[in-house]
Amino acid sequence: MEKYKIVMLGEKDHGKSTLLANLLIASKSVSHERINEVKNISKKNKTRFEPAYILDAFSEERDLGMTIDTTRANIAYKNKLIELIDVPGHLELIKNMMTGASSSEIAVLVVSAKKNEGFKLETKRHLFLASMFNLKTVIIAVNKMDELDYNEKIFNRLKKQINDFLNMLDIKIKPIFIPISAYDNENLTVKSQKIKWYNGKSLLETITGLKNNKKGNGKNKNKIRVLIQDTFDENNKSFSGIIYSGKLIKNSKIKILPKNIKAKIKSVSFLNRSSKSSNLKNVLISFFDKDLGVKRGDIIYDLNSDPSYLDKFRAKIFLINNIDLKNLKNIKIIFNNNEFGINKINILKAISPLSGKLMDLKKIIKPDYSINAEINLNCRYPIEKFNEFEEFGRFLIFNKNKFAGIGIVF
Amino acid sequence: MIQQNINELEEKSIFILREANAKLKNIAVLWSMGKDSTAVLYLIKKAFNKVIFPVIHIDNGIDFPETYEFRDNLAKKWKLNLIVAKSEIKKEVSGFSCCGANKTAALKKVLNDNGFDGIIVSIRRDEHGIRAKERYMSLRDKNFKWNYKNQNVEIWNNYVTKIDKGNHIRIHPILDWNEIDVWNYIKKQNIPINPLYLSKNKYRFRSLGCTHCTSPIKSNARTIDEIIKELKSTKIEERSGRQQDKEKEYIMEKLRSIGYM
Repeated sequence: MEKYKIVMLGEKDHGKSTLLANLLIASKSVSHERINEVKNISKKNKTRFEPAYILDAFSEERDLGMTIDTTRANIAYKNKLIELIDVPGHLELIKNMMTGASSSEIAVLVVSAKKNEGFKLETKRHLFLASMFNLKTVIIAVNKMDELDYNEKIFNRLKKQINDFLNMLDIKIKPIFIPISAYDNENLTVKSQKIKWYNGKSLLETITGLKNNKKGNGKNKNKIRVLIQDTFDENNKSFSGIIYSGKLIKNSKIKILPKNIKAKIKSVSFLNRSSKSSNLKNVLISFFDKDLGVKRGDIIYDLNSDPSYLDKFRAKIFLINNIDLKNLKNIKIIFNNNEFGINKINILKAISPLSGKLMDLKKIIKPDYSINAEINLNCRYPIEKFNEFEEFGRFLIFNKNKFAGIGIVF
Repeated sequence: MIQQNINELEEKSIFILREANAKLKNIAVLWSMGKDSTAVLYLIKKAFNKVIFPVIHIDNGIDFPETYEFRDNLAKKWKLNLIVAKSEIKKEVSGFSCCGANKTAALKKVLNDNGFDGIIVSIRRDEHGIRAKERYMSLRDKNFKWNYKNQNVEIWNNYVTKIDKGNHIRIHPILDWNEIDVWNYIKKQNIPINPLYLSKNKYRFRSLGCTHCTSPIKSNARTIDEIIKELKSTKIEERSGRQQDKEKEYIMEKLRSIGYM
């Protein structure tokens, strides 16, 4: 069954959880028991039936009427499997939003068309992050149209605002716009009869009509890039790893970076013969030679292929907290669960993704900027460009052991 | 009920188990002899060629006889390093006080005695709204408190496992699986199961706890194939036979806030 991984983005109170819950109810993906539980709580809280309570399961979320952390729910629709991830829309909870967005391929960005809500900062931030997380498709669900008499002009005005913003910042996303009412179920599963001027499909029909959302390394798929996860035996001859690209062939010679160790493959074994659709492909590899000095985090390459960078690299970074560049020893960079210190960061350019303004930053890197920087690791490590080998060209930044932001290599 | 691709689920689960093993020093796995934790033991066996972690049974002494028999047989067959942690039965044996206070106290003791820094727990997102909020590797403090308002990031399969002394990480390898996926996997890999899951005299257990707080459901499913068939069309939640989930809307949240699985 084809699977679509979707994150629901958008500002708080613009209706993400309500939309998701109504999709679950409309596609019969949630039990009567769960719906009844929510009906009882709504009654007790003396509010109208609140579908969002299905996902906002913490009492605190329900009392405050906001999502605190991500929730995942699966729906099946016309023989397609859709995994929906709900994330909080509050700035303070942006790291939870990032956790949800990082495992998705498609975003549904919910924007309320109401006058006092509209296209605001958090929505801009989410659009920018959607481009950093390389989400292939962004669907903009223009919500609360029921409260605006399904007015076409209001819809078009919002559409223009968002497209102008994307052009100004040169964000390469071409969104699909759909007018909806999450609360009244208009345009969610079937095309709305109340929105005659809209010629497109309903939200679920649009999603299941999408093709090629799987991420992949395209033209580089024949090159070998295998991450060593762990040593597997006491003799230090076999290792567990993840094949992100290429094929490992018995008796062939490969090299292992960063130490440039040459080795001959004795055997390769997989968990499953056919897990083509899986983006994690576990493998056990053993070599003829023992005590090669191969470590967790090392990467297997073909003999005639090299990484883009080996210590100094260029990246676009986005932070959620300030970082003081005078204290580099507090900063750690994580590539595929392996931690590195840094010797130097040079800021090349800092631009606000919210206003488009350039900023002169030197000693402190501030949050909320799209920052191009040159980074020197404190040791040699193979690093790839994000648009060539995504898994080896993205990293997390920690400051004093706290999550500070993400980066992608260019 | 929605079925997912079990090969894909297995790849992710094994990745998580190997990652946890590489990052943490002293891991144990909780085993209730239910279908989920038995499937997880099998995944561990597949990831490392044998069940390399100590296996903990929190035993309140009132599990079903079939459950104890199943435990002892499989422990022998798979050469498990089994730790039976006795939990006390308090007078008021239901929901909150039973599963919550008693089992959690026993787990705390076994963790402290052995210094485990990672515990593999076989919860799934589809079981309960609260469990849907979990991370694959989730921090608990000394008092087992889950700080759900400030969970670690899990971006691009990177997991945070740095902990202060006395804290531990809950490892959730089958968080993504649905109930029916577990059965599909059990069938495909021919994993032994507790016989209470199969229908006898028109009743079977769909979710297994102790003798006091779980009740069977009406079912004629006498084989795993028939269970899968039954689940495909059911509209009833898996844990509907569990006392603890029923008592109050927020009972699961309260249980989890004091360290329940």
